[in-house]
Amino acid sequence: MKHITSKNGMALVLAMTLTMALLILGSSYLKSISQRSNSNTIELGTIQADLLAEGITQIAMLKLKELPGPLYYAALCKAKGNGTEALKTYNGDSVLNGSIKDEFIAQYSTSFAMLPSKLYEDMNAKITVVLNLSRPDGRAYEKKIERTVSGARKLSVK
Amino acid sequence: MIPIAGLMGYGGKATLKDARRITAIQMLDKTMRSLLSEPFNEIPIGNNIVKSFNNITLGDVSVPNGVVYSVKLTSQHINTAFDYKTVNVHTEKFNDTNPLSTDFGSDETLTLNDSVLKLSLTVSWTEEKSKEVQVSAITFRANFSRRTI
Repeated sequence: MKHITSKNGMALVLAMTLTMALLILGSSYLKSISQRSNSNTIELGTIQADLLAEGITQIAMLKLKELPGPLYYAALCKAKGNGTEALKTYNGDSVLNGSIKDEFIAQYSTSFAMLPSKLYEDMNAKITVVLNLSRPDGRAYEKKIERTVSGARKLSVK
Repeated sequence: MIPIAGLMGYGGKATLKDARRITAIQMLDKTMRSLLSEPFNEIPIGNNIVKSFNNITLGDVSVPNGVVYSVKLTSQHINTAFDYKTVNVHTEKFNDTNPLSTDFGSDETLTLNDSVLKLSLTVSWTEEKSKEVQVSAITFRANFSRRTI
């Protein structure tokens, strides 16, 4: 039987140290590669959410352009403490509060409000779109867009 | 040493694969943002449109690293129904600065059939010689230049 000398023992220690070093290097390399792929997935989810929220904001701005009067009076009615029903109706559109289940899953909601500048003499409306998207990595991502639209108000003629 | 060299090779392939995916995501983002600022009436309607228009590049797009991406647009009008309550502003009791809940009338709906487009864009390319992969996004484009009723 061959005796293990101290020289042989040193070689074994050296070989094991080298193997450990290569293992650590290799595993950290693999980890960095997998993290990079994950960050691409996160970036895609963020872009999908941004683009969809921007599109919903466009629809909301179209509604405001078409129907500014009902929002103004509904918001003023609420601000004066006279009721919230009209504003609730204005905010309740299914096209602005819904979900997408096509290529990805997302839920979104939209709300309109009036900013009380100059005690409602001006028409300063605020549109808020909140979108929750399930990213490809399975995590939830929220995107919020707030847009203020300013305009002059024409008084009603009796 | 051979497995280590193999690992390095795998790492290089993964980096190139990542780069191809990043290019596709950037292409998707850039094209969609351009679509959001294109004139509404100049956006074509249809499924899987590959014909370029204005500043929008569709169809097969080659990039310097030799990869060919296929960019397809699906564009359809969607019906939009906007709910609101009418306001009885022409009554004697109506106070312009203090509207009451009784000043509001029935629920009304403004329906627009051709003022919003749903835009779906897909960028696809080939990985590992035959495996097709894709990234896609959805947005909406509203027609702000339509005549208000």
